[in-house]
Amino acid sequence: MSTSSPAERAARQVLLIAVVLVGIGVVMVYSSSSALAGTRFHDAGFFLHRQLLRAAFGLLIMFAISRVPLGWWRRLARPLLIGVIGLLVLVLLFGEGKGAQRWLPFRLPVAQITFQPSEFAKLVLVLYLADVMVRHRELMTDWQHGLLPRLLIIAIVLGLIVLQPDLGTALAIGTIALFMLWIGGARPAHLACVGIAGLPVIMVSVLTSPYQLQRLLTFFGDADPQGAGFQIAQAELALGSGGWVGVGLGNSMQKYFLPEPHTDFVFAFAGEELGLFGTLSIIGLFIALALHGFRIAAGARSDFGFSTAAGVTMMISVCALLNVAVATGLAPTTGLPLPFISYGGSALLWNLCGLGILSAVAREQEDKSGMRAALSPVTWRPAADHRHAHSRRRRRWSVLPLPWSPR
Amino acid sequence: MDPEILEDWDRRLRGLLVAVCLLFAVLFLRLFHLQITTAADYAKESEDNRIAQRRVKAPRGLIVDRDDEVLARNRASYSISLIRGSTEDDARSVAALEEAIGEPVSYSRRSASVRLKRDVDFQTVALVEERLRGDGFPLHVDIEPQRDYPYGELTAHIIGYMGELREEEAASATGRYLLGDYVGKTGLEKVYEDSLRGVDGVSYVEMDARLRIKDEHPFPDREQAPIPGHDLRLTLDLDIQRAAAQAMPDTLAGSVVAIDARTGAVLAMVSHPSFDPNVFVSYRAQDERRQIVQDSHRPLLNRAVSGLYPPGSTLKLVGAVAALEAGITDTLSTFEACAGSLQVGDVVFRCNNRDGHGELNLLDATASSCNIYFNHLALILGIETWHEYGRRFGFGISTGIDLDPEEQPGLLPDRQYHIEREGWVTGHLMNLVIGQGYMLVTPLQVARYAAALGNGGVLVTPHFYGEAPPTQQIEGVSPETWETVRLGMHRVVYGENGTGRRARVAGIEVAGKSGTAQGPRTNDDAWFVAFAPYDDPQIAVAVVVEDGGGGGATAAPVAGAVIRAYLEDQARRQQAVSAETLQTPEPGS
Ligand SMILES: [Zn+2]
Repeated sequence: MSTSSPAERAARQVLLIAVVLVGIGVVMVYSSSSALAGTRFHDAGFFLHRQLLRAAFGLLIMFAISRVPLGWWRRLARPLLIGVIGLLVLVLLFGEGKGAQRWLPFRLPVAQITFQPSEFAKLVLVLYLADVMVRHRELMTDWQHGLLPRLLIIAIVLGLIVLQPDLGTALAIGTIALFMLWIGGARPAHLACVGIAGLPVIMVSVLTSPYQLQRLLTFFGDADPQGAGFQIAQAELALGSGGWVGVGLGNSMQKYFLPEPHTDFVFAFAGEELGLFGTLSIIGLFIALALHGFRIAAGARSDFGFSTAAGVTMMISVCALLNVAVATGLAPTTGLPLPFISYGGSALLWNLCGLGILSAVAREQEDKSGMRAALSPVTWRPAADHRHAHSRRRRRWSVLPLPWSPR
Repeated sequence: MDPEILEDWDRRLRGLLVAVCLLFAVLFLRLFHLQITTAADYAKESEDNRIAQRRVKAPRGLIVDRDDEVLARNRASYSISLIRGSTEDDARSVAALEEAIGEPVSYSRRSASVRLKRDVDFQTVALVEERLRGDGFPLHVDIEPQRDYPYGELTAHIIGYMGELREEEAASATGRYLLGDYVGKTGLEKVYEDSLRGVDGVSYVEMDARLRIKDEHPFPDREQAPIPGHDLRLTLDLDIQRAAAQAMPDTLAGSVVAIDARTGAVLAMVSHPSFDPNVFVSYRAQDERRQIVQDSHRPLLNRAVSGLYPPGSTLKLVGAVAALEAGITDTLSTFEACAGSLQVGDVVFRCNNRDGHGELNLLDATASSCNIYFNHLALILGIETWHEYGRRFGFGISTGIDLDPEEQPGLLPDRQYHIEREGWVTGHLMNLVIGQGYMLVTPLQVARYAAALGNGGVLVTPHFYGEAPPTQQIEGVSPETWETVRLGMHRVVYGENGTGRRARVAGIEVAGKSGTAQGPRTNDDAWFVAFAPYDDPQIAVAVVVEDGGGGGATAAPVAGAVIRAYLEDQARRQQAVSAETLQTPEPGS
């Protein structure tokens, strides 16, 4: 068993990046939330302890999932989708949250756990679309038989999330889904039509929710530094006070001015405390993750591995891009967390699960045992073809500035 | 596998990677712009212009009785805060305050504005405002609303009290409360927390880089005024409540419940001993609070809903209704004459009259509360029938009243309950039918039972606030049976040998039933249930006096006093109405 093959290394690097990002997250959550936790709970470590517990649990799950054969996910994709739709209906009926119903409460004897099904839906939809891409590969260019049935499924999931209302998450998932369909071979013209058809839905959703309307008006309106634009103005102020190396850990002043500095705007606080050095490091880690992810996709041995790796990578990249765009004032507030770093359990857990699956795809490259191929429902590429594709790919990808040497 | 498709997938994947990298590059440029190019401007702005959002507490709703007498209100409470500066500045301010008031001050450097002392007296306020602030210490006085209960002990168990949010509660209510907030902890304050609380508003404060306030209201247009909480007007009548509390023997524990026999609206609910709820909302009364919590008489317990008692003879009417409906007895039949005791097997059941009541019919047995008559009745009745009627009267289940802590359901034992313990013998039913044995009730359940007996079997849901919940007709009982039982209860108060003659009230006809229950205490618990007026029951009362001895002697006068207060209140109401109509000028005159 060769333990240091490139694929194994890619898998390990993905897991390592995850650990580093989660570590940064825990530090930032503590630093930005201690003041708030102090006033609200008389315990400066209130959020820290919770986040540490979730991080440890999530990383454990990630390592476990990286050992799960990929075929399982393909078999689970459709049951999981049905389950997630059920949960989204439940959250509409029984959910709780401020302003929007996003969380499902579970009351255990020891603690109360809340669960946000829309974050779970993100990962499940990726798995489902990855499966569809492979299963109906030839039909993807066909509007009626290929694209429309998938779009209906996506519309149901997004519709349920928009009803919560959680437009930000719905938009992020919609973007991921469109990109996955595009990779899968759907015609750009078809996808453009879908995007245009989605606009009225977004408009109605924004106009019927004063909360979302206010966010949008704030973004396009004048530089209104208070009211709904309060967060954005304070976030830019935080970034601006950071400079090259920041004001130092724990020295942020802005954290006293934001209602929830440890969630959606944690990036801005990282910018204030760690400066451009810190923000670029975080962005660099996300870019490295994207490069690794796409490389794992390109080298995947199975078609399902390819589509899953591409999808998971898109999922994390889109969320990171959107969150940072909001924190830097380039997009209206969406309420999306920064993957791995923002305080919160649901997003962290599912993103780490995604990375576990990504790493499982990388491992699959090396697993040549006929046993697993026989057990798995994944269609394996013929060996000759695989070798061919692999060499082609290696040539092509080697021109990209990759942070590793392609053997 | 079609290599063309593979080729296509790869091409698209590469496109995507380029797009993602490009977007990250845009963010990079934006960050560079924000953090480096324009950083100087931002740094300047953040130096002189920091805007903090502040919460403006919504005033909590008042709680008033049915005549708008205020039972819970808000008063201003002053607290002293420190505006955080450097560690040394803070320490000097805290030391100055400690020296000025001669008391230690707890302080932690964890938030922008640190509350040092809560609920201080006016002298301290003056000290801080005039001396310390004049000396340049960044202290200031905040006015916070604090709950105040003008009738204290009298309404403590109903209104409940507020207390500081606990950590677990704060965690599950994130965003709605901050730690240190006061929330309803018991009673109606807790049950109606959401509507009493209102919605907090937002204001802004402008500070400099050292978090000193520069402008208290930099954006008046942006501020959101708080939405005050709803006022609660209860069904409670403070006059009846006061009469009930005064009629209770001072030295004995117990409870009085009076409800509207038609709707279940609670008119009075007394639990004795009581406590001063103001002690629980004040920061100054830690010792008194401990005293109340540790008191062996358990003043915090609301005996009306959480006190569990054997009901004694007041429960005999369940057996009477069951026997009448089962055809076991009627108004004329008699059982074997009461000789003061009855031996069944090797157990001897005794009557309250040691010399025996002689031969009695149901009405006289009810009036004189003869145990032997009901023991005989139990021998024929059977536990299943009796249990079924007990259940229909609402025993063994909560009444559903809108009060916290949650009421006790009591215990209505059936055959199975006994089998699981020491096995079933008929002797158990002979105990149960006279309200002894394992039977346990709350005074509230008994009040509802009295109402149902008076109004022909309408089971009401007791409540303090809002629309009357739907009532429920007890099924399978004929109007004749209700009339017979009512007549029996009338004889309890007005009969020659009635045990409840001390419940008589001039000007209104009362019906009732006494009870003397053997409980865990040295003396018997005294019970009395009543409804009035006899012809058209409007009020139902249940009284229990722990250690009170005979129900007719100790509890009946309390019930009488409550009904008298009700009568006087009705008279006042009528007077007020007629005075109003007199004052209204007639049209055309
Ligand atoms: Zn007798």
